Amino acid sequence: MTDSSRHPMHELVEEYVLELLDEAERAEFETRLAVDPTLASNVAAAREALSALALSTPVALPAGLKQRVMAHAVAHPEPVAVEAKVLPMIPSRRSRAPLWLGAALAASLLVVFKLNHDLGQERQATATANAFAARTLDAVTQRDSMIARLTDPSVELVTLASTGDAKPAVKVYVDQKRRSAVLSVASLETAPAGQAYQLWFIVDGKPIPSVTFNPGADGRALVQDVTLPPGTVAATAVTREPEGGSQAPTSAVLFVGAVKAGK
Amino acid sequence: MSTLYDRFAPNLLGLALRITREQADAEEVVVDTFAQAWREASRFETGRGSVAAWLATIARSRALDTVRSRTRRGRLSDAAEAESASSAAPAMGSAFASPVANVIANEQARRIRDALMELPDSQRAALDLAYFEGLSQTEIAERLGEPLGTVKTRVRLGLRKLRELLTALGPEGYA
Repeated sequence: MTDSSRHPMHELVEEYVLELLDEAERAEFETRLAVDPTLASNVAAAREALSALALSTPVALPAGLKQRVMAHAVAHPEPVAVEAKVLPMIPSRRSRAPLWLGAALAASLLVVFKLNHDLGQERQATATANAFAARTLDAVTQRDSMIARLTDPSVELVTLASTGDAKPAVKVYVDQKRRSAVLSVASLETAPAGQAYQLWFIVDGKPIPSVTFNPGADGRALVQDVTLPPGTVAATAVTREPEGGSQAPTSAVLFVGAVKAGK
Repeated sequence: MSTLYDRFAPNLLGLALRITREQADAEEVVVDTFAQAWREASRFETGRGSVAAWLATIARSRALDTVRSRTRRGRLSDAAEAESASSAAPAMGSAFASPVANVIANEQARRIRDALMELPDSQRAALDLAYFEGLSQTEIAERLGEPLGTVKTRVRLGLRKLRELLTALGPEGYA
């Protein structure tokens, strides 16, 4: 833990949460962040401090803002059809019923429909909250699982060196024991149309095809549960291939990294 | 969502007002913040921070985008003369969702503001420019007429000091 906190990235926590790092620094920081629980904890604490700074001046809420928020965030029962049914209740001049009776009846129906509408909104809000909690729990579970896997002693981090510009960061977490790997990419440009990047594992001197991937607009990609091929993986590499992947490399190796023997 | 709104909307609107300095823009930021939070709820990770920090991050980003967009359109001419967020907004806590929420929010805000006041002015100014105006450290240095290295140190020390002060307040201090 002490060694971890001496890593130079720990000096950049404040700049990171304030979004003051440049793109390359941010990519390097986040690569470290993915494997350093102490750093992640410090980032979380810094974010909490910033949120306190941000949220220290509450103000009064204008009328109607909550309705606008809910309308945008939650799909609730549509009241238009209900109001359309009410409109014919306005009496015509030929009606014997007094005007006030029709108006009162219409108003009563509006109240009933409004109550139903409110009840529907309340049920929707409850369902929304439950769904939110379920998704949050699922996200936490997945993250815990990922952290447990990456910090397992059997996992080796292989940083792939670029054969060209050194800017992109390509890392593979190789778990020989479980025969799986996790691929992490940062600052990588999107492959041209019709093409994708492909990961290869080198076994007995031969490239074994693995997953294809493409970074998002932010240059990042994370591929979990990559299956290792049978045999001892000596190295891993990345090439650019036709979309859908190739059985053998058809272009020059862009990134390559050796896997230590015996892990 | 309703619960989240009641708990955080007054603070998020205060944040948005402080950055945008316009009531209509600030309200739009709050609406967009909750909409984005709802859309991205599955990506929220409790292990990486609180809901408050998550919502504040979204709101700040939205508010800064609004200001930058306004600047690009050249319609920010009156912004410098606009009333400050605190004076433009209604009196703090005068219309919260409930009296209980009102008391809690005001008490937490007071404790946090007290903590902020313990920061040296120079550190607080650097933090404000970085967080509420979204300036780079170079821009902060130019604005304050200070060397870049000095600004970096102030930002770092200011945020660390704030963390220490808030830690002393305990988990109820700002979460």
